[in-house]
Amino acid sequence: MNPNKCLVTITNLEQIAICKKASITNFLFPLKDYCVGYPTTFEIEEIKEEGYLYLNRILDTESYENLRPLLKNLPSHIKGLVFEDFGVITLANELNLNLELILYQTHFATNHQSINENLAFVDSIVISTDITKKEIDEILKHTKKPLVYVLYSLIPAMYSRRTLLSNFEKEFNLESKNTVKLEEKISKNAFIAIENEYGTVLYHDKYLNGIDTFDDAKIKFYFINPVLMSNEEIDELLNSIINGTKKMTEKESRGFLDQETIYRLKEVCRAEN
Amino acid sequence: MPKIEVLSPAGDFEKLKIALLYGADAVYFGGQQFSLRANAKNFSLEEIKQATHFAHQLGKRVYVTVNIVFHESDLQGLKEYLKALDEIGIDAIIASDIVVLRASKEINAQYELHLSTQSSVLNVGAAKFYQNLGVTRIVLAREAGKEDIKKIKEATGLELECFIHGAMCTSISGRCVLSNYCTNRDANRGGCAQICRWMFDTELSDTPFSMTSKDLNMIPYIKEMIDIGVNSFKVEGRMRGIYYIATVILTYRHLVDKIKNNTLTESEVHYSLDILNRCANRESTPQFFEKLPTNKEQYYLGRDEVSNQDFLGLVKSYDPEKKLVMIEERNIFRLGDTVEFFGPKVETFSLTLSKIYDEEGNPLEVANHPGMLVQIPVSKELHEFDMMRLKVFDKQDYV
Repeated sequence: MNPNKCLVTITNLEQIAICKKASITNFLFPLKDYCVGYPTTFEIEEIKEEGYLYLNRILDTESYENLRPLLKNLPSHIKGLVFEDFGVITLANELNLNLELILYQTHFATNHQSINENLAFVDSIVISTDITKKEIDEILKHTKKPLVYVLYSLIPAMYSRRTLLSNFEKEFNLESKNTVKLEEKISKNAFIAIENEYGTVLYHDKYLNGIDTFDDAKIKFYFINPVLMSNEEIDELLNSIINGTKKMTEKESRGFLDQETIYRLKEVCRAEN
Repeated sequence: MPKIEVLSPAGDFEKLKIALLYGADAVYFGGQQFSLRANAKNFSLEEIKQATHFAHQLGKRVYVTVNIVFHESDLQGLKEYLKALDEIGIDAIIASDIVVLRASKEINAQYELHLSTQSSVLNVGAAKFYQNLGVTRIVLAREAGKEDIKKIKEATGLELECFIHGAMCTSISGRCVLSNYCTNRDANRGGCAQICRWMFDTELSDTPFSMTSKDLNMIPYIKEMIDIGVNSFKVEGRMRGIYYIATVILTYRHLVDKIKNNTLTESEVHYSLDILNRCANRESTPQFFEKLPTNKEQYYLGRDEVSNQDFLGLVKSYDPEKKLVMIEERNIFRLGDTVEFFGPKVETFSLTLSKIYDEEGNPLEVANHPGMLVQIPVSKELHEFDMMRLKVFDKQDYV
């Protein structure tokens, strides 16, 4: 794997040195007040390295208005924005920002036509993790610009504006925790809930290991998102990815890469019979 | 005052008819393709044609949802489908995927483009983005607060549609694939298995974790919503029955009309709240309009999901000479029960049942077979599609 093609989320500042050791220099910083699902986020002033800012919240009016002065005064080492809310595009245009814009709507970049339409407004798009490898190949075959592929990550399965953990803890007078493992009683699927004041994200508890073969020219970045991993684990992960020795472990899955979801009633019935 | 619309779900043709007759200004439903309620009956193109004709005859409007998140294989036939909808003359589509918005432009569709709540618009910038793509109305995210609505209206002048009643997603709409993981059903293509209503084990305590939201009920805020620029008041529930649709739509119709005429009273609001709470099977409450929801807006253990048998029958016909109403029974009732009749053209009134006859005129003590036809003497005129329910609340008690 070419380390120049890797984009890694920074979950603590010590991780930067670990990335550099693996020759990775594309960093994504979850921005304070604009991210959910990350135990650690960063103020602009804390970010000294060249990199991208991550804004994965759906922005209410107040946050949107507060973003305007923040973007207007960004230091020059901020190369771009990775974001969920289309309001960011309007703001970037109004402010005439010279930044790379990467759209990351976790569940919506699922076909090449929509992706190509949206590429008229942004520089790249993160491909959804809800689709199959076959569908991803089809998207890459037709894309107008190189896209971002989620190579290794905890995958968000749900994003709520509600503070679900705090609400539960309050209801039953429990000790306050902002990261909790939940196991669904019937299917036994486990999720990790992470909460901050802007909402709660439930990640599927298995890391997506999407290492596979792609046409490199169609990929802008391979996205590595080591949420909740220790620095030692990150070190090992990055080295094995770069060296091409990464194997699938019990903590990982292929997500939906090899398994198509169903949705029409007749298909559901067929599957259940 | 700008045009205000009560917008009803219509899971099938019968519900559509009931919704429009009970006072909805417009209805929304899915076709058999590209709609987020894959398990609802949904409308064929021929049924959409009939539905549109029926609504337009009443001077009302029809919106068709084309709001799945499209995978590669779903794109096939999209343009042809949109062309067919346009030829039928529907008034708008409700869409979220840019590919649907673009395709509609390409075929030069005459219908309006309404942006689905799946797009989760909460700020002016996002609203402007979609406005530039030709969207004329935005169904705001259910998380929209008062300030969000106000600012978006002021800055864009777009028509704004807000959910006011019915079930809530725990997640921000579209930002949930729990169903994909737990059941392999794709939530964003209509297969949602409502995992947010299931129970979870957790390390926090032995009490199972739950994240279920109570339903939405915006009755106390309708006037304020009108004042800040909401145009369309949307009821959720394409899977709900006709009694629910009739009760909810009629209640909001009365409220909106009374607000327009400046005749709405506090007692009317309280009465309406009780009526609506009774016809749903879950508690309902405002959610994001004034503040963020807390534990009080969620369900945990011992949730109060009540299924009642208040809906007693549907009026099939009325004989004004014999003053007899023919009822199709839905839930058991018997002599001595105090019931209420309501409908779009009748002032709600109550009656204690002193006589019940079967279809042939033979006296009965009890009507206990769903679907059976019975006759009841009623002096006030009733109409087809009026309804009979158990009397629980007396409007006089609220005055």
